[in-house]
Amino acid sequence: MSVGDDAENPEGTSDVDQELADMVSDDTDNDLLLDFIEHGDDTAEDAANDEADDTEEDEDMFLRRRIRRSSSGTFIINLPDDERELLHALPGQLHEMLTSGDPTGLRRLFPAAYHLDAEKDAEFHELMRSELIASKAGRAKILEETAFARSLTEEQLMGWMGAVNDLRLVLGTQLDVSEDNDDPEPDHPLAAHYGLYHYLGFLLENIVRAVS
Amino acid sequence: MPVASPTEVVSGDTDTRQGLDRPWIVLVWNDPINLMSYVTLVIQKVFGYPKEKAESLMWDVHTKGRAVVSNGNREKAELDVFRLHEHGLWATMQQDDA
Repeated sequence: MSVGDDAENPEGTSDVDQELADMVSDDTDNDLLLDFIEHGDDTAEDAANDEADDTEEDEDMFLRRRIRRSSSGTFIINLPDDERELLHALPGQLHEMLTSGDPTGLRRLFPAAYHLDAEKDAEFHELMRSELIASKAGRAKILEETAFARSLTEEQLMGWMGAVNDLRLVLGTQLDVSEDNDDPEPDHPLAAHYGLYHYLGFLLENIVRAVS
Repeated sequence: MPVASPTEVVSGDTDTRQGLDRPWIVLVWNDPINLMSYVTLVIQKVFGYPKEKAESLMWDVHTKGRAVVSNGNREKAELDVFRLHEHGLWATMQQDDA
């Protein structure tokens, strides 16, 4: 398992956010997850150039908790618009992968249940797989539809949590993440993909803190 | 239709005692992607365990590679595994060796 990025720590997230903003503005097609963010490769330089322009207001945004429970029991979602655009766009990619029937990259979403018995495992997946896909697709839809909401019910936030974790599992599998992985150098061809992976972990950590 | 008497079934069917009746255990395995805080929360929510117990199981998964998170008959174990898969945890089930 891995430890989430510290939600209180502004270091190391501002570059990621800048990359995300560039990724969203650069891409409008419907390719799979890695294709979706491939245009992020050229954003490291942009991020470095923009760093000097960061205002105190931006820094406040990172110091505050992004998601917190309100006194009425709903959850206040304090995310910048570029992140919301990303969260609105990504579930479509996930939904397409879930319903395309192509298991590439999805093995971590549908692990073996009977790891010692292939026959029973096949029966299990035959019975459960469509229900599992429906559950994951439903949560992806919740994230897509509420990405711009300023407040969420607990049920909606649980939908976010599941969808963000599924996206993280798919991306982490594609990147072949291990517990010992060090982040790649900024000019690594997959640096932007790692940026997205870490952003999703940062967001997930915020969600878990808010509901715990 | 001839029906075996209950006493014959209970005393004679060693396969039942040694096979079908053995309880099933549900295991969660360590994986490099899931966040520790997330795994704790999912174990809490799925099983209704107190936070301390869920945290202790999470640490077992992290340090020992796996932990038994629940047990019961086959149907219950399948449902538990399904709910863990629903939340993206790497869960499997097997009959208890003990």
